[in-house]
Amino acid sequence: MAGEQQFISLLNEHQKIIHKVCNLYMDSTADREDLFQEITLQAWKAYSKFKGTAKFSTWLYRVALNTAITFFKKEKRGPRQYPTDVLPEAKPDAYDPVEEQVQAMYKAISELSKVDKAIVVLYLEDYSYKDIGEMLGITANNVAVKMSRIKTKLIDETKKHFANA
Amino acid sequence: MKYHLKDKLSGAGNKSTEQLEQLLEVKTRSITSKLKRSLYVELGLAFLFTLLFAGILLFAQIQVLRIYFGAFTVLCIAFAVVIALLLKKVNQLTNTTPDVKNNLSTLVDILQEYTRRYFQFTMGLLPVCFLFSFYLGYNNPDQVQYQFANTAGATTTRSIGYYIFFAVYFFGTAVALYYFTKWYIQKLYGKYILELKTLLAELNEP
Repeated sequence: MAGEQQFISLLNEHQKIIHKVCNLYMDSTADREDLFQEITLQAWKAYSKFKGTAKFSTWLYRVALNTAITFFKKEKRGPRQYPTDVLPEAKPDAYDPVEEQVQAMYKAISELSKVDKAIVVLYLEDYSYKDIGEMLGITANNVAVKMSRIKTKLIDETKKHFANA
Repeated sequence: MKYHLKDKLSGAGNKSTEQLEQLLEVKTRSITSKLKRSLYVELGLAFLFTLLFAGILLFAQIQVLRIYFGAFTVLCIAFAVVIALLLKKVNQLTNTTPDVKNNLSTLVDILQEYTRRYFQFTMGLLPVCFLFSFYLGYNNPDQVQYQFANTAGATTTRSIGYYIFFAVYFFGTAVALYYFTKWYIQKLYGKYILELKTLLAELNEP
């Protein structure tokens, strides 16, 4: 019971990590809720083996990414629902170029593969290539190469967005 | 830009402690949990059938029945051992936090092993079922003759009609079962294994 309380307390403190992963990997609110639940459960199951040698946040990222990458949502029948977060928002009266750029970049990230998304989320958290490599099970060099490709892809997609706007 | 993206990814809503506590009581629906549930059910069934077949093996009066169900008992025990080993692997995987590549690789290995063994077990049942039932019919002509009494041309156990019927029945069922099992396994895990392999290949590419 004390273990559960400790876990909940740590989870409460670091739940932004799970939110980030869910927002990155799932389009709809319902799917995000499902994934959030799944990550929480998987983390709870593995928590007894958490030795505290790594930071809780790093460990939670590992659990969250493992769960998100192997989590395949049930295919729903009917017309596809587009994520409201990535749809171009109605332009407000006061045009914000930074917001527009963030929106375009966010849309481009949402179209990346599952592996690339994992690299991006860890990169945004300022993890080193070595740390990212350890979490993914690849070398730091490989992370650097992949990151360079991702950056090119994101720049291209963002340019396309502005060209079409 | 990094800051803005991070902020956007975080979203707005946070869950309360009560909501987090409630989440721990919900049933998981990950692939490992689904697999674990299947393995427990199959282990239970294998155990049940082993007891049932072992009972027939010990108490049946007819020797052919004892041989028939003895073979099934051995198959069920072998299947239960394989299932128990797979269950152990799945439990090991869910209790640890490997890196993404290792996790994917172990998951692919477990799922492939499971589907392979499942297929082998189903196909292995075919010769046991048919050869022993043939043996049973061959050694109990009276019973077989009774069953074939209404079949045109079937006068004795060794009549040509019996062999033709047996051959058609065996090959027809074998082919149907082969394709059905393949389709069923593909439907259950085929697409999933393929997607995991694609992710693994992406991680492995330089």
